[in-house]
Amino acid sequence: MKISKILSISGFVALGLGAVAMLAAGCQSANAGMRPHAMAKSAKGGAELWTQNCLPCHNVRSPSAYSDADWEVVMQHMRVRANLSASDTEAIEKFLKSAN
Amino acid sequence: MIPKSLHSPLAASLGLALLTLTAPVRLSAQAGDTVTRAEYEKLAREVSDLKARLGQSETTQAEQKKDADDSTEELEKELRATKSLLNTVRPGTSRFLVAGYGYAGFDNIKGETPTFKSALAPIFLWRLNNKLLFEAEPEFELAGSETEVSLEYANLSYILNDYVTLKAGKFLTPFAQFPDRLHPAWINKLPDFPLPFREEGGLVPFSSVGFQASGNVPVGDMNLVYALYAANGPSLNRGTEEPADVGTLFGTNTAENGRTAIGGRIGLRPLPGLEFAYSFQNSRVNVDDGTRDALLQAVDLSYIRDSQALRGVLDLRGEWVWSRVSRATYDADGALGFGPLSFDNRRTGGYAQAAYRPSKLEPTWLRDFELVARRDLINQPDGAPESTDERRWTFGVNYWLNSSTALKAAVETGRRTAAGEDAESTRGFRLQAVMGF
Repeated sequence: MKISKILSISGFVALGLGAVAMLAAGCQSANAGMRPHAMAKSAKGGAELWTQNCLPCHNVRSPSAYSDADWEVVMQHMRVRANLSASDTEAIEKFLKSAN
Repeated sequence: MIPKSLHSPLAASLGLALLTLTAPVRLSAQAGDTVTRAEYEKLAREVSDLKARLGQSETTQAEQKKDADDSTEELEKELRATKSLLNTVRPGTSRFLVAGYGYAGFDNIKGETPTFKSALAPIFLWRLNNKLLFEAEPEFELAGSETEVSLEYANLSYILNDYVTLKAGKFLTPFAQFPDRLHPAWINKLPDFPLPFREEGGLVPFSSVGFQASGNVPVGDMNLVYALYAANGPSLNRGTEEPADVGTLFGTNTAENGRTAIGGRIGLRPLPGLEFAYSFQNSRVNVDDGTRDALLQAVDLSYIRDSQALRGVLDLRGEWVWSRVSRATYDADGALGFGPLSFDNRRTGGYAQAAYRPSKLEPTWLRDFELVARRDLINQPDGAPESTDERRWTFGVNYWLNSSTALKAAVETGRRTAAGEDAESTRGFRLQAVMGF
């Protein structure tokens, strides 16, 4: 079987699996308190996660660059744009607001 | 009204009066003196008056306290209303935000016309709630004597849960890293794009129109990142307008060929700052005698380290792209003047880039400088008309005025090889001032 057909089929399969995963996840709340992974990473803290997640693409911006409300918009933008995890996004946003 | 501070003297007076009233009785018992009925009644009246005044003052005080509490509550209510009003007009508290970047530059490359450049790319972000985000980026760029306006992306994202985000609309194609994450001028370390990622003449669809599911799934201490999409498929250039472009893939804004492309990027982040990924896109494209497969693949690797030992930030990255369109015959009847032509339509390209910013080095003025080196290349099919391979070295230095504003200068030297011709050297420099906002 040609590799292109394999990829095409696997792409559709992946999309299907993704749809099943969405249903299995039960559309859980995106803000349902601190998650287990967030607890595991809490030792790192928002400041460390801030540099670890931002630097791979661009310079880190000062917490004072935006207001608290603006950081909420920016962090949501970065989450959907750069595949940040939910727990990291939460921790970074909390840090930016506390340091603002 | 009797102030609270007077309560103690008033109580003292009352106590003194009581003492005065009773003292003579005791004195009388001891010394044999007597208190007249008139004196006793006078003192009793005085005590009664004092009791009445004390009661009155207590009543007044309670009323005043109630008034004060009411006033305080009213003031707090007004303060809350004022704060709320202030929040509605204060910049930065709306759910709507304009970010983006703009730049001005100058290119002077051998064989090309020296050109000043300028562009503005505002990004409109509208956070509808904690799950819904609309984002759009038009780009205004000078092109000849005109201003070219293009829509880089405009899409609606819905955060379904912690691991899945759905996106619909026009989005930057999550194919390799550069188009989706690194192309904005304030992020790109050099003034121009790597050869395989040029918007014209590159190998990669910069943006796509369709549907996307993406997310980040923790796997132990690592993170799996993914983005899968279904979008309008590209069309195959059959050389009807420019023979040099025959065999290239272009255009994904509309489904001109009526076919859907399936693609995605799956990557792993095993350590902080380290990420590697594989990307693919597969589609069918129309040719004169039917359809053919068009397959794009890429791998990318990046490692970014910010450490005291390095006295700064080291940024290493590389991406490699290869594309293949099944063999087809172009200009079969010779009407376009270059056919019939058939060739092995494979293209490859990539870049490796290293950047270092001594952000922890002494003296401190050095910290705002960044050194960049990049090697990039692109290989076109040998049998294609006017096929040109190119490879070059670029060295740059950036001066950062703040975290998103920089002055960039870069020199490049390389070689272009057109099919059947001698290699031609290229060299030149590019300047750019960029601001992200």
